[in-house]
Amino acid sequence: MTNDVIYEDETFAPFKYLCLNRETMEKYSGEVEKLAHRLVGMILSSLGLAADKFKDCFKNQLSMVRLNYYPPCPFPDLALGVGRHKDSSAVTVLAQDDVGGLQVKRKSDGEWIPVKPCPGAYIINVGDIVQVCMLCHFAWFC
Amino acid sequence: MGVIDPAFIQSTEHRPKSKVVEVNEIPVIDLSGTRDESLIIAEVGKACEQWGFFQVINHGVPSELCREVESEAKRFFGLDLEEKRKVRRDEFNAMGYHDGEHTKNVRDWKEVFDYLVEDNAQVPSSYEPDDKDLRTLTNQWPQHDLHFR
Repeated sequence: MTNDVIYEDETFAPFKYLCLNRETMEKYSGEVEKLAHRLVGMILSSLGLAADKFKDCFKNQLSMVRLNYYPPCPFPDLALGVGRHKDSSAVTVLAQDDVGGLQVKRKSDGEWIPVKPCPGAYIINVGDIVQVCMLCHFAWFC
Repeated sequence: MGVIDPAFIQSTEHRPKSKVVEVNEIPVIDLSGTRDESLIIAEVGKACEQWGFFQVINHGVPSELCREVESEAKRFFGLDLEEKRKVRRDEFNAMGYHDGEHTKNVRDWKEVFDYLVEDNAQVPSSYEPDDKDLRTLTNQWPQHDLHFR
């Protein structure tokens, strides 16, 4: 349903509100960013590094929010909503709805296993950038 | 049922399995501020080492806001393609709507909408190392649809 309003003024009608209200979306990205920074800090702490060391890395950042829509697929045995991949990000904060479908690769045996939808939870994926930074960091000290 | 566009077809070894086993073993970490921070950090470290990912609950992002964003997103993707394409991404601006995403050269069965946390980010205009030109990525919002009569 769109929020159309009929305007009496014949000369001008103001913004037509469709969806993705900018204020709401920016508030959301700000909240998720706070969480992401807390998570990166905790990952660093878990490795015995200073938790605030990364802050400068996120100046001029390209962090983004992606809204994903997976329409019903009549060929579920042939296609995927998104194919196997690693995230190139530092961390990905992923929300899954109650339909589910996300699978992750288990490190111990390489098996793809489904992530059971958990209401209100986020799935946190540690991306390539953190892995590369850690390798560089520890190579420097080793 | 029609015929599937070959661009979407996964190679045999990467096709989805019809039967998957539901497991409950992926770590769930409670981020409540009332918990001991060092305990949380230890759980994060262990999850990163053993899995490379984990789930978080009580993460501080207001649930009301999450629901609002979800319903805004549903409304957006429910719009006519023509309407969605008014904010589609192009070769100059990677932000906005896109329905031709590929992962490892296979097309994904999905539609996306991207926006930057910090709007108007400057990026190199090409991958060429000598190219010093910058271009600006800008968020596109569907409600900025000004109507004159």
